[in-house]
Amino acid sequence: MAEQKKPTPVKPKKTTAVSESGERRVVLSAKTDPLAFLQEEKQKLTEEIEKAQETDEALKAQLTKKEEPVSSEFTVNKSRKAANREAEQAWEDAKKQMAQWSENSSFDWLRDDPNDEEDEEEGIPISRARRQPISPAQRRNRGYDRTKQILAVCLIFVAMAVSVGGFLFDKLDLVQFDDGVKTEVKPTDTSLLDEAAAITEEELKGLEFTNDYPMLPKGEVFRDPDVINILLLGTDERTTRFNTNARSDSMILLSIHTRNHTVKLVSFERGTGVPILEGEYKGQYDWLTHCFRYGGANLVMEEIQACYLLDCGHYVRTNIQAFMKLIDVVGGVDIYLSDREADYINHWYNYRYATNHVKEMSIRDELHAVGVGKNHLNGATAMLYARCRALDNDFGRMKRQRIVMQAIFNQIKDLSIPELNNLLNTMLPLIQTNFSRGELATLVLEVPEIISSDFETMQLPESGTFGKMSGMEGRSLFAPDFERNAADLKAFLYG
Amino acid sequence: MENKVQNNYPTIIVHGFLGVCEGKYNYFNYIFRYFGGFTGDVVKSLNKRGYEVYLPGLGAFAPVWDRCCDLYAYIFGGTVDYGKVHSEKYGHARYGRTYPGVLKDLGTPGDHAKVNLVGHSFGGPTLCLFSSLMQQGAQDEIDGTPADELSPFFKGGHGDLIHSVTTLNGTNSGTTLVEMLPRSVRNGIQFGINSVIAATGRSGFAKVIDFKMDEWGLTVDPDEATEGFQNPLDLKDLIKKNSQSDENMFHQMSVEYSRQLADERYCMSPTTYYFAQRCVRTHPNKKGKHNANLTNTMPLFDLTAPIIGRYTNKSMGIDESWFPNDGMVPLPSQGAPYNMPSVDYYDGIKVEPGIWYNMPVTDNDHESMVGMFVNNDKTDNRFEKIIKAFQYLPDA
Repeated sequence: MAEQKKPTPVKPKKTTAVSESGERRVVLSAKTDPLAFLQEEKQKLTEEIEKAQETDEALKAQLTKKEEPVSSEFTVNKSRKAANREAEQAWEDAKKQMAQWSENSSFDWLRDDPNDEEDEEEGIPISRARRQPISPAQRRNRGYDRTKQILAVCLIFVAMAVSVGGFLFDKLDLVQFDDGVKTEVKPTDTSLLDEAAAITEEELKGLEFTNDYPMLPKGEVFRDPDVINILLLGTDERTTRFNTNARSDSMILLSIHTRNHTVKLVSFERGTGVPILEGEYKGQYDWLTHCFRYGGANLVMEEIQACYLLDCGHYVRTNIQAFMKLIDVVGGVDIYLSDREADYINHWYNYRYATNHVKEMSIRDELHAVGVGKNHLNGATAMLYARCRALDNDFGRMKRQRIVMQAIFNQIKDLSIPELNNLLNTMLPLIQTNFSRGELATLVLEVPEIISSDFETMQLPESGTFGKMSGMEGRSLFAPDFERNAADLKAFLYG
Repeated sequence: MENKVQNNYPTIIVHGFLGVCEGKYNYFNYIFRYFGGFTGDVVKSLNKRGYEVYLPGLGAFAPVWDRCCDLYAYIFGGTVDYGKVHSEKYGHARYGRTYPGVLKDLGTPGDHAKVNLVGHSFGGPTLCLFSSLMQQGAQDEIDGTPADELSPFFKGGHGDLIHSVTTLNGTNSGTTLVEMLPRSVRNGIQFGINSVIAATGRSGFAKVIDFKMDEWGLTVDPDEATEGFQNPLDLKDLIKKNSQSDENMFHQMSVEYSRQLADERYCMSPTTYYFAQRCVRTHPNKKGKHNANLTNTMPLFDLTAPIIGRYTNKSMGIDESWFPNDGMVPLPSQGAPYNMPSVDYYDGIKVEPGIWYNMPVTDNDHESMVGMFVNNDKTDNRFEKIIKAFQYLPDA
C-alpha cells in the first residue's frame, strides 16, 4: 500500500487590502490552513477586546471621578464662573452683532486709525517711548513743521507776555502816582508842628554845640547806572489818606545794585538840621522831616541830594496806617525783643509818647502781649515797636524800623500767589510814588532780588560826625559834618 | 436710523478762544486760519468737496452771550441785538454790527430747513447757549423788553431749526487751567487782552485783525477804523468794565462759570442731536498723574497738559478723572455740559435727538483737532466725516 503523504503545513499567506469604504480586510490566499489562521485571528481579536475593555473602564473611572459629590461652596463658585463665562460670551456675541450692525449702518464717527503712525506711541510707557527709534521715513512723515511750531509758540508767548503785562499794569493802576508837577513850597504855620516830635534833651546830651551852620559838601552828585536809589518815605498821617501837612518821620534809602545783586538800606535822621533850599523859609535851618511839610517829597529829595551828594530822584511814600496794614497782610512779622523793648510794648501806657500814639491810632484793642526773645507781632504791635524812641533815641528807632522792614521782606518770601495778589491789592492803593508805570513795571524785575537779599544798613549822620545847634524858631537840630557823611555814604553805596 | 442720506443741511463751524476767522478784511485770516493753520483751510476744502459750510468770525475774546447774538445775526442777517436787559446790566451798547445773513431762508423746506452747528473749544459753550436760546429764549429779556423791541432770538421757539450741535474739545464745563487761577488773576489777564484790543481796535490794525468787541467800545467796524493806535490807559474804564464783570471771556472758561451758565440757561431741544467729541493727548505716569504724549503734541501743551493732569479741587468735585486732557481742556469737561442728559456713544447705539452723546475719545491735542500744525488732508477728512454723519441723521 502506498504511504499516504501527510500534508505539509503551510503558513497561510495573507495580504491586506483596503475596501472602498476604507475598511481594513484580510484576504487569505487559497492555500492557507484555515483553522490555524482562525485561531490566530481569534487570539488577536481577544487581545484587542481586552485592551478596549481596559480603556473603557479607565474612561468610566474618569467620568465617575468627575461626578463625585462636591462641596456647596465649590458648586456656587463654579456656577458663578459659568455665569460669568456665559455673560462674557453673550457680550462678545453682542459686540459682534453691533459691529455687524455698525458696518451696515451709514452713521459713522471719528475714530483713531490703528495704522496711523501718530498713534503708535499710545500706551507705551514714557521711559520706553523716549527710546523709540525713529526712522528717517517716520521723521519725514511726522506731519509737523518745526518752524511752524516755533512760530506758534512764539506767538503764544507774546500773547502770554502781553497778558502778564496787562495784569501788571492793571495792578500798577492802583498806585497813587505823583503827577510830576513840583509841589509848591508854601508858607506853613510852623506853630502847628508838634512839640512831641522834638529832639529830647536826652538825645542831645553830650553833643557839642556849634554856632556855625554846617556847610553843604562840594563836588558832583555821585551816580552809578547800575544802582537804583529809592527813597522810602513814611509820613505821619494817622489815616490811610495822604495829606500835604504831613512830615516824613521815616526816611530810608533803598539802594539796589543791579550788577552786584546787593541791597542796602540807609536811614536818615529826621532831626538832622538842613538848610531849607526853597520857599519862604529858604536859607533857614530846620529838621529834615519838616521839609516834607514845606515842599513835599521833592524838597526832601533835593535836601538829601544836596546834603549827601546822593543821586536820588524817586520816592515811594506810605504812612503809618499803611505800614500797619502791610504787616497784617503779610501775616505779621517775627521780631526779637530785648527785655526793655518787651516791657515798653507791654506797659506802653507808662510812656507818654506811646500813649499818644495808641490813642491817635485807636489801636489799643489790637495790641498784644509780648515776651523777651522772638515774637510774632501784628501790625499795631510792630508799629509801636518801630516808633519807640523812649528807650534810647531816634537812632535806636531808625534801627528798629530797618529791622521791621527786613522782617516784612522775610515774610513776603513765603507768601503764596493768592496771598501776594492780596498784598498787592491791599497795599498798592496806599502807596504814592513819582515812578512812572513803565519804570515801576521794570522795577518789578528787581523784586525777587530785594526779597531774597540780606540788607546791609547804615544811618546818617554817622555817630561822632555831628554836634547840635539851634535852628528855626529855636528848635534843637543835629548839626552834621555833611562833607564827611557824604564821603562815607559814597563809600558804602558805591564801594 | 435709515441707511441712506437723509439731508444735505448746511454746517456752521464756530471757533473758540483766540479765534480770528471770517471778517470784512481780516488779513490775519489769510495767513493763519483757526481751522487749518498756516497751510490748510478746512472750510474752503469742504466747500470744494460740495458741502455748504460757513465759518463766522465771532469775537476772539468776546463773551459767550455776545458771541451767540453775533452768530444769530450772522445766520439770519440784520443788526446784532445784544438784548436790552443784558446790555443795560453790563453797561455796553445794545446794538452791534449789521450782517447780510448767510442763511436768511433757514427754516424753509429743502436743504435749508435746518442747520448743523459745530463748535471747537469755547465754541462749545457758545453753541450750547445759542441752541438753548433758540429753543427757549431768554426770559429776562422777554420780561424786560417792550414786545415790539424784542429780538426774535430771545423769544425762543426756534430749536427745531438746529439739526445737530457738535462740540469738538469743547470747554463745555470749563477748563481747570482757568479754574485754578484766582478771579483777580483772570480779570487781570482779560484786562491785558482788552488793553491790546483797545490799543488796536480803532486803528488801521482792525483791518488786519478784527477782534470784534464793538459793543464794549473797544473796537469799531474796520471800515470806520480811521484813528491811530490808542493809549489803552485812556480807555481804562472801558477795558475794566469788561474785565471785571462776569462777561470776561477768560473767566467764562472756568468750571465755576460754565456750571453756573449751564444751570441758568442751558436746555435740550427734542429735535436736535447733540454730540460731544472728546480728545486726549496725555498718558498717566506711575503715580496716576497725566503728562503729554511725547510725539506730535504742540509744545505749549507739553507745559499745560501736566498742569491739568495734576489739578484737583475737592470743593468743585474735580478729582483724578479730570487728569486726562487734550492740553487745554480736561476730558470730563469736553463731554456733555453740566447736568445735561447724556450717554456714552458706542457702536450700534441708536442715535436719538434730545440727548448728548459723549463720542469715542480720539488721540488729538486741542489744536491738532482743528488742523493747526498737522496734515491738512487728515483734518479735512475728519470734518467731512462729521458732516457726512449728520447727513444720515433723520429729522426728528
